[in-house]
Amino acid sequence: MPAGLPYFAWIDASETTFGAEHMRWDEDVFSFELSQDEGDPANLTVVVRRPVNEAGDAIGLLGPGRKIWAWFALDCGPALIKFRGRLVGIPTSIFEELVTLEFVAKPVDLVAQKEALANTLRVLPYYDEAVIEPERRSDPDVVLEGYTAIWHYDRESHVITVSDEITGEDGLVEFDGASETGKVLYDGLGLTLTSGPLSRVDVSAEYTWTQQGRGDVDLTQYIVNAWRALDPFPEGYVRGEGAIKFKAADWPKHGASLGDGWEVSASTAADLFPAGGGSQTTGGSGSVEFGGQNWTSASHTETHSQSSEGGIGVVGQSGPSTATQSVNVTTSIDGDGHMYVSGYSRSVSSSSSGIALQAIQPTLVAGYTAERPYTERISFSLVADVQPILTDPEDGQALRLDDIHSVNLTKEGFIGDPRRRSYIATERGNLSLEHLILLARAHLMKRARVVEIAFAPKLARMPEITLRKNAFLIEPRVGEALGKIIGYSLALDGSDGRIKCEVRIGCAIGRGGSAVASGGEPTYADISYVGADYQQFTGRTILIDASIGYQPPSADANDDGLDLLSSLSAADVIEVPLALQFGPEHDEGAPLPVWDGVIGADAQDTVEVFNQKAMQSYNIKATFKLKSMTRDFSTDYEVQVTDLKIPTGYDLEAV
Amino acid sequence: MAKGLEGVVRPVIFPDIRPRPRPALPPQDDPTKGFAVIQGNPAGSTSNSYSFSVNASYTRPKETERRVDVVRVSQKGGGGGDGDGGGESFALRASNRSVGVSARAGDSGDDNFVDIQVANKITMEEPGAGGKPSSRPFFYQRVQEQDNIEILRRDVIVKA
Repeated sequence: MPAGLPYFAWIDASETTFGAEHMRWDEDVFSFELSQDEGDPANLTVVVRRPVNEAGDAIGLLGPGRKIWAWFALDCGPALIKFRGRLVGIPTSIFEELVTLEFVAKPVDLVAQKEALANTLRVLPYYDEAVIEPERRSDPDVVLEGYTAIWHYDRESHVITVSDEITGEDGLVEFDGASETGKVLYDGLGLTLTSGPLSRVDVSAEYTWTQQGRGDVDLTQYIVNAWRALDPFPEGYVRGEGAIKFKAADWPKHGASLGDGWEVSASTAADLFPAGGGSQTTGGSGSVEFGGQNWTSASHTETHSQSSEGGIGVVGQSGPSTATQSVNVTTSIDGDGHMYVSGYSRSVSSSSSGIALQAIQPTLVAGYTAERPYTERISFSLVADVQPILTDPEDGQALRLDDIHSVNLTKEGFIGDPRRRSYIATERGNLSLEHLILLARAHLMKRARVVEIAFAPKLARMPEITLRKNAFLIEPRVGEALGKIIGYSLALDGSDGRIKCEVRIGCAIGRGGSAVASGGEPTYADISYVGADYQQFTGRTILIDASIGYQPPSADANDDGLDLLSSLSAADVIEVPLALQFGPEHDEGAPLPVWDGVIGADAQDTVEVFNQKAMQSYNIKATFKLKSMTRDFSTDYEVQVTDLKIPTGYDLEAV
Repeated sequence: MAKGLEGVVRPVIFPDIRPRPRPALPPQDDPTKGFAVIQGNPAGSTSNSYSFSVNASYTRPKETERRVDVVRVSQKGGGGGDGDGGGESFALRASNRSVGVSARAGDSGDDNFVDIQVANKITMEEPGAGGKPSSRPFFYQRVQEQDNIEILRRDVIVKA
């Protein structure tokens, strides 16, 4: 069969394999254009003679029962270039003699295929759900964000794949300019610079999580030691260690707040000195002879009493004493009218008060419930090693990706152990970092395909052309160019009978080369002892692929140093040490009154005021601050990355 | 071309694929807040007290009753005479008088006499134990009949 002969066969949707039976002419093809651009399905525009029935009447192309699928093939000589497509839309010019039909090689199960393929591509570090909203994760297009790849629609099988935008997966089509088929036509050659290359991508991303943890810290020893240092006991005040001047009733109880995220999980305290007291009364009555008279109803009573709330009396801190005495003498008149002493009474009372200090041997265990928002801000600049188009490379375009935020890594489980202080330094965090780098890399790679060359190969080479291949071109006017095939078209115009072939390639203008890994210096032990899986390194560069590497950051949380992964001690959690404040918190009223020598009714009032004041002077207010379990922290990491090595598809400097 | 009818399927990364940024951080931890406070007072009061009282009362005794003998003392040696003789005839011993004598003078015929009450028991009341009044009797020698002394009645009770 002669080259240049087109075939057109209406088919059922199930006829997915081209066979000899499809090499027929269901329609009279007047002209056609077959084209495909990168990322799109192939399109076929066919101009055919308006179909008629045997009676010569027009046949509705969209009528019920009409086939809408078609195999199209063009004999290119060595092979056929084939297209299977579905009629789309309403044919144009349907009342004319020539009708234009438009077909697209788009699979009917596009969504399913994409989703299935996307599922295989959802792998770290290319795809990181940590920085994608949960409701957008089912979007198959989102999955390509970290890849330098684009959807590819096979024009025959309609199988969807992805194809790298720099290096095609299905091999190289060479146009060496020397062989007969390796030459390209003189006409149709074009070279354009699509835009200036992207020289740098500045990435800034935030990873947030809530550090969570629960646990207990025994503060007993710390509090007692600090308390006793600030308020020491007199020698021999109490036996044993761990006692402080305080009352059990005032000691914090279970559930009492101890600060942000802290409360008492367990505490004990008992007064070392129980309250006590008692009284003893003696006395008697009878008759006594006194002054020659018989005092018949004489009596006396003597009472000693003592009471204490418990504690050891404070030396030199005796309170006021009071003493009262009263004497009553009564007289009567005898039968002779003479007055005589008929009664006598005398009472004496005294009291003294003092202050005793209670002591306890307490325990106090603080429990924490950590809910601390953490943020790690990752920033780096990825510079593309590309040939300058502008005279000053600094004028190159830079892209900023600074709106990258993560979901809450704790809620989504990406943090692993929510007690962690750093995410980016973890294995998972490194993958997130690699994702950011790949994100920037994808932008730079795509934008590095600055040179776009269009050329017209001979028809015989067209069956080789797919968008999953690279093309190598040697042509005297452009020199050598290697690029990804980003588009092609094949057209025949029935008016002149000429076949037009065009292939477009996108050539990256990198300088080539590969990134170099380095072992770095271990920070803990010799590398022969433990490797990078156990210790951190400085200056260590690991490669994501041959084009780029980075230095994994070491965990350096800008926080309060609290490591919830380990067992916490009092020294770990104390932020502000214990301080004691004695006496009334505020000066309340007059100073301690002078009570010595006060007599009369005012004496008792003075005593009460004195006692009240004196007691207030022993008020103790202990304060300390535990590290907040609700505070938020933010740490910045400046990540070092290598320059992005980009293949040299076209050497602009050699032009 | 079909492009007009079929949407371009080149992947488009929508700006809203990213999670929303975390809300602005709250102000830095206030260093004056979040303190644990243990507040109390170890001091307790002690008190010692002493009291002493004494009471005594005294009441003088008071007569409540007496028992007397009523006697008539006649004048010895007839009536008249000088005062000295008569005074001797009527004389009673001081010891008897000391317990109380009441007399009534009379003239019976030629005899001069006086009727007197001679106490032989006097009951005094005074405060007893517990302040209750108690009675205390005092006994005296009874008067003896003589020539000029006639006992008219014995043990007459006279209330005070």
